[in-house]
Amino acid sequence: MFQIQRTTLVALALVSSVARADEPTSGSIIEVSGQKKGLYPIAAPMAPEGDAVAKEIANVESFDMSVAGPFKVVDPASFLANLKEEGLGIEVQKWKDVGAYGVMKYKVSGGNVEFRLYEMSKGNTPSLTKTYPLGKDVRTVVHRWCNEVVKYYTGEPGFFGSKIAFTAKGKGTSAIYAMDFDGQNAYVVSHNSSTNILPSWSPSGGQIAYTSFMRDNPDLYISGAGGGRPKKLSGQRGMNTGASWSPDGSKIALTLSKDGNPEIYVINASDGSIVRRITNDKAIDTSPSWSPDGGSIAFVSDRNGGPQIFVVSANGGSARQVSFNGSYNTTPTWSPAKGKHVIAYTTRDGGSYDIVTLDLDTKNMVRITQNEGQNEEPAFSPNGQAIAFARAGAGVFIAKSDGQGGKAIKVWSGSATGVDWGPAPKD
Amino acid sequence: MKDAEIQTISLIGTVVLTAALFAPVVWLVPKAEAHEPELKEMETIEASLAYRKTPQKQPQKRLKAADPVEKPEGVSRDENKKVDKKDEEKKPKKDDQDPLAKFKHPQDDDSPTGKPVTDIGQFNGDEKGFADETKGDPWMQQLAADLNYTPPEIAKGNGVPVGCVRLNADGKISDTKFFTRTDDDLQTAAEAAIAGLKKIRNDKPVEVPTHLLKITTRWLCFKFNVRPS
Repeated sequence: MFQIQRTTLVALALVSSVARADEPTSGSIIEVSGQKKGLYPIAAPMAPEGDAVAKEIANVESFDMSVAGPFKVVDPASFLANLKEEGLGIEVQKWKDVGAYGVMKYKVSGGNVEFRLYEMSKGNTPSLTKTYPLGKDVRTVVHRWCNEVVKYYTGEPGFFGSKIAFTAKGKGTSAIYAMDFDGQNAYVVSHNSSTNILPSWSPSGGQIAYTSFMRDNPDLYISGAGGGRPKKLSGQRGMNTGASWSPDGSKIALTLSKDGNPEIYVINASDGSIVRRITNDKAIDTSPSWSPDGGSIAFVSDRNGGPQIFVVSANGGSARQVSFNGSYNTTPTWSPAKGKHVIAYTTRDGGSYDIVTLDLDTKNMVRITQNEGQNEEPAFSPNGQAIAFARAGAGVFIAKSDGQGGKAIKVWSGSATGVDWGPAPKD
Repeated sequence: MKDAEIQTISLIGTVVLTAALFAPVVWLVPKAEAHEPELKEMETIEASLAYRKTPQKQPQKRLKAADPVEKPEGVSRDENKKVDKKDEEKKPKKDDQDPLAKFKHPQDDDSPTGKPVTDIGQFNGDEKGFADETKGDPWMQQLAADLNYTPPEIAKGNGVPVGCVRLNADGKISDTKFFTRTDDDLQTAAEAAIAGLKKIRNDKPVEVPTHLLKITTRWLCFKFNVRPS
């Protein structure tokens, strides 16, 4: 009898538990409408080897992706995954749990480095895989990989591996410098003891134009991007300043004051001969910037009072004012982003100088800097996703051009002005 | 009967009874699993959030009509004649007193007792309206708001994941599940939203209003759409 009772009790217990199970028989739906906005969280964990090369690769990856534009790098302190066990693979849920949408992995072996990009939505199959020979220049290899990652997500290559030129101020003198966009490998371009200002990269990246007082007059010179003996391109009486190359590299817009008043001119990049005069106004017209489509030139003029940004056809004609905020706006530069008509410039807001962008189509303004010192002379990255600028007495900084991503990152310390960002590196 | 016979009958009885009890169990379990609700069978709840637009002056509710001019009652036609104060000061009889007076509160009438929290149809600063005009139950709206579903700007995918939660009466989330998976970045964003909601609601539970218990104790699902920017 005891056996019967025990068996019966077990069976009854089972039935009872099934009867209590809360199986869904119906439900309700809430329609949620989210908006795509914000940055894409991507993780760049260091390979488990943890040696100097592994550290450098992880550091460069993290830096590149943090300034790339639409990304934010997940804090390594939050990682839950066992990197040693994972190796080049991935345990998706552990990365999802720390909020990562993408994870960049790599492994160095046999003189090569294999990179993998995983997307959490695609599980443990890598979305992108690249292998490069690992020479002495580890940074360049990582920049190439990060460019591929940015291209995978945005369709546009990244700007990693590009260079920035700027004027470094010394005691009573100033020199043209160039460096990697992340502040590494800085070198002098202008080898003279005079004052050298306002560098401008040629579209090919092979040359830099700048104004030098080496023969007392502010003349325009061109030198190789690596430095070397400069060639005088424009030595008109008075100012020969603020060079801006046409997109095809055949012409240069600049300010000449040969007739007394500073005006915008276009000269041939090959011999410095004047092609045409763009402005003709009794006001001061300076700081030309050629649009990426080659059709327009933005410049600064005080013809309506204080200095404001104007845009004129590259063939000349009447100029239209495009900046209307405040009473002091200078140093315009065009975004190279395709399909957009955006300029960045320096604006005076109260007692401080800040960088803003202005969409000429939508009139939408984005503030890039605020309450962070005196900022001036912006320059867009080759893909338009970042802006470099000089901060008085502090150095050269990089910020995301959409205004997201928090504070700007310092890439060069010192007294700098006249920042210009070179073209994208060639593979 | 001998002991052996008793044991045999007992064993047979046990087997029969066990079979009789287990058969429905085996049959019912897959049946119950098969009864997962089809999305099309689910009830749709309006809990969309109202987003702040250009502030507009909404029709204002009249809280109280202007007090009429009091006129003394009486047969006299002389409007300036004062009413006998004795009548005014006369205390009401016990039977005349409102027996429910002690249960009434100053707020029971529509007299302005202070600045109203908000006007009908206006927003309270949380980008979440809570008047009738803004639709939806406030508790549901807050739940949807706590989801904070914001896929990154470069998120890939066009799918519409459907993720569900079940809540206890105390407001804690007991279970989560995805009825529709899209295997794209929007799925990752939806999973992050559900995980975030679970953390928020389990750390600081918001008790489920009684009238919603019937809904929240079953699968309460979120259809993750993307609003054009």
